Amino acid sequence: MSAPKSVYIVVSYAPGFHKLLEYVRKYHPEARITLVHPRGYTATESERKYIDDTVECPSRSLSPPSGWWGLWQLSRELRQRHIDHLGFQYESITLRLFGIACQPKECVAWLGNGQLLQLPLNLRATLADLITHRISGYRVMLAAAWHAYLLGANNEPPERPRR
Amino acid sequence: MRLAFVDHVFSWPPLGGAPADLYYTMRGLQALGHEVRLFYGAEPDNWFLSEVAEGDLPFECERVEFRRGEVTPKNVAVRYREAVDAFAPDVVFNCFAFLIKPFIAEALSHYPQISRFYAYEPFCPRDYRLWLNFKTCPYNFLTTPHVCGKCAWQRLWRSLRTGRPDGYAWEYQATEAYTMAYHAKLLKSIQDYSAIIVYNHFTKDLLGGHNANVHVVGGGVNLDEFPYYPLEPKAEGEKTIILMTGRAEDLSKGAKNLWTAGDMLARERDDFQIWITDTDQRMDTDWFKAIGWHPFSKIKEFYRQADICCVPSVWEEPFGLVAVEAMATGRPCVVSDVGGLQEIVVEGETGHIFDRDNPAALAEALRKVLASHDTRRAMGDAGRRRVEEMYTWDRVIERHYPAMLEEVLR
Repeated sequence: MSAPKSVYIVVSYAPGFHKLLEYVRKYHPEARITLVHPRGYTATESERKYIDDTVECPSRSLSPPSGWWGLWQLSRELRQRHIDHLGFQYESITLRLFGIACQPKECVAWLGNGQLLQLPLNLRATLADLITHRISGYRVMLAAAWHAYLLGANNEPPERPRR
Repeated sequence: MRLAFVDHVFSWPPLGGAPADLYYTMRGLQALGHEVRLFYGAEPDNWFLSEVAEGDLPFECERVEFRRGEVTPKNVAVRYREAVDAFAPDVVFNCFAFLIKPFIAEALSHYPQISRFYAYEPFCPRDYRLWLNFKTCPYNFLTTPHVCGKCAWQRLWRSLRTGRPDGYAWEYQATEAYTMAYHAKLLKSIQDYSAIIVYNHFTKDLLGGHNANVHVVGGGVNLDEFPYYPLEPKAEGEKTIILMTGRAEDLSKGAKNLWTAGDMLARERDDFQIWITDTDQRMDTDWFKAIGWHPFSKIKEFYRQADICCVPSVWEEPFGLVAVEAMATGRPCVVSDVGGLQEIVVEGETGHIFDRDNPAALAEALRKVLASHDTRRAMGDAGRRRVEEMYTWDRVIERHYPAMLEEVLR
């Protein structure tokens, strides 16, 4: 991530979100960090330490289906602000589409294993990226199911032990 | 003797009891004249992990660095092997590493190894807490791999199918913990350890004879770091502080039950305040305060300010170091009847033990301790004496480690 002037981060309820804000503040001390949150959300003290500003989404949730309208409305406002960086903790199809709609200079997601993911800002690349990962994900998921259910099926499940 | 300690997830300041336990064990063994060195995994690209403050550690450390994409089970094992071989230890302590641990054990199998299990990582491929539907799981991956394999898959498949699993799901995928080959590797590693150290008898029972040399060794505290502060009577209008330390945001730590019990008490009295080490202040009320996550040094100050320590864990807390720390400071402890906690606190003497996951029982236990200053003081003093007798690091190390090391090298 190059040195941005403004970083917008979409709030997440996942553990470690304040650590993400701390990380962004540490690496971009000069940037203006804005927290994007749903209506009615109050930033905690540990979050307020690292942010300069907040912007409210008109909907009460950021998740589909109710969140889509709010995010679409908000994306129009953010587009006018010409933001440098938009970031998410983890990623989802909704957030990716929101990222494309906001048209930031860069869009990133910080994943749970520490990976910082540069998200493409065009629809075709986004869909291609998602499909590629879904295919490899399904492959692993089915391999795990094969082992767990079919290879383990020779063993009769024991009676539930009592403790 | 040269002792290598390998901990893939070490943190300092400590994020939980395991790194603190490792720190004091190493310090204790160093004081006995052994040459100790810690090998810990560092991922500078991982924004989720904090840097280990090596300057605060009184022993030699070797940072085994993994850049992004390098953290694969085989890679981790090879890198630790290279690092440890250069030190040429007499004994290796294989500490915390979750599902990757059998790979590290295999790579270091040319040394006598002592494995320290801090939680229940070998007994459950989906959750190191052996925790299912908010209760202790009755199954054990070592004996019922087919049941546990399905259970793990049911929990992790959603994360796996994204193609970008994180945390435990990532380890599950990377180590192929869903295969019987992984199960065989895990069993072999457990059988091959020269000794295994666990925190409580519940864990020893779970190992079920796979290794004949299992030692139940509790943790401890350093009394210099936790000086005794006798409880002072409260001034008129001053609130009694009930403190819950540790990773309170983790649901298995039972903060929700403490909040419910506090809510029950708040309906009948207003002379107390609950402090918990959580960063989420959305539950804050007049009587409940999230004081945030603080460094180790600051936590000691909170013990001093507190009047009662509460550990309401709902999982089988392997040891419960926070209870020992609070007892060392001279504070009565109200703890749930789980794992090591119930072996630390003596009911009615150093505190109270309540039925886990029962907020009414917790409220009743707190009511008893809140009733009088004299009771709190007597319990706190008894707790301090119990720690002096049983849970100082010097005692713990002297009682268990020299004999164990001798036995391992025999």
